[in-house]
Amino acid sequence: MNYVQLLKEQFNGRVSVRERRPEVFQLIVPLYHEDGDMVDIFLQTVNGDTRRIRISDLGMTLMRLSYTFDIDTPNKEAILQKILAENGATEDNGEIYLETTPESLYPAVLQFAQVASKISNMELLKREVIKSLFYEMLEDFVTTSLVEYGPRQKVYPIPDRDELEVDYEFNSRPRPIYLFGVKDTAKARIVTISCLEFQKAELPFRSCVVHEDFGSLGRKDQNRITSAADKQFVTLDDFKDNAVKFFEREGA
Amino acid sequence: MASYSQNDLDRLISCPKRIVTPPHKMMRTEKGHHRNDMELTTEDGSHVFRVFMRINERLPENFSIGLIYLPKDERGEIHLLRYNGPHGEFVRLGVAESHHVVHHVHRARKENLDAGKSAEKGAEPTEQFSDYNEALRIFLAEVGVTNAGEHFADLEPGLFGS
Repeated sequence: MNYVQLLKEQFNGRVSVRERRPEVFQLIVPLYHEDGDMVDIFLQTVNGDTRRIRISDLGMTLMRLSYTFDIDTPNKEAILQKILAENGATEDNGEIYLETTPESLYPAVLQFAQVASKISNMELLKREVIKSLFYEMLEDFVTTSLVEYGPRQKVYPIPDRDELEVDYEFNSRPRPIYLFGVKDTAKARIVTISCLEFQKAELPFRSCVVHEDFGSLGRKDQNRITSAADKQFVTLDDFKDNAVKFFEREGA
Repeated sequence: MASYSQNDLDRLISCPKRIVTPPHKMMRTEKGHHRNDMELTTEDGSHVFRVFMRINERLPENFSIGLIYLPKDERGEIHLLRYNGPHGEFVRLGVAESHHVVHHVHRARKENLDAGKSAEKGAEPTEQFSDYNEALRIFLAEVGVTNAGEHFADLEPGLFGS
């Protein structure tokens, strides 16, 4: 019995395979991503040895993840490697795989699907869990520790351009400080555009950006916002530690 | 997340847009796939979008071209549209169980958003395109990219109405 037939037996006949390349089989099994696409699982022998089966995604998992999330910082790479190590999987040039024997295909396939699912959800972890409280924590700090500088929330410096919003304005000086909180790429881009539009309109102001994690932005987004903003704090802790001194220096 | 009608979603897909952050001239290759990205806005700059283009290095028929909406005034993003090659099975809209390994299109649906699901969950098979280049041309036309010809000159001329 070859390993494909053995796997079908292990799954009680509830799987099928499709040969995508010579001796490379795509597994058809009811395991789906959130968008309804089936999890990409491929089977092939290792160097023709029928006792060694490689279960692989042929690079599809990281390709899917890259639609919205890049592994482009040491921290993200470390999280990826941790997921792989904890589940006995390996990554080589974007391909996630693990190897097993024909007798262990059933649990190994389920384990592989779990790895693919965890990696696919890396963006979700970042967006929904880690960052969920950032804006609330920034607001709490601004409205308590910086209250003497008179913060005003949600200010629109250019009439009729309500898409260009300043999170907090500190207006007790000739040139107000416009403070922005940035927790992700989307907000970083909006802040970059806003700063550039305010400069184009020749408004007198100083821009200050507080990042939840500057290092989590892609290199290009880091470059763009650094070019557009006057002052940045790379984390909320950085801002908390240095905000008062900054405001004193600025004479706000 | 704000409430969107199906009409809102359809309009976000088709409204005229301009490329403001252009794609690379050549796709880059990293982690097992070829990739390119670009940023679009509506003509008045009021809405921001991102487009991703991906081709799997080992299985080039597995490609993906998607349009993501980045709302300015709220968290998160909405996957409005995605063209896929025949990478594998997918859940077909309105069909309890089906097995398709064909080119297909994911499109944001109000029912999905309202139910808290991925906006683009479920897909429809298509015969509109049969390879990446054809898909890209049709995609750029469907999402209303008015200056596509400036950045995709190597695609077949005349397809962008100029």
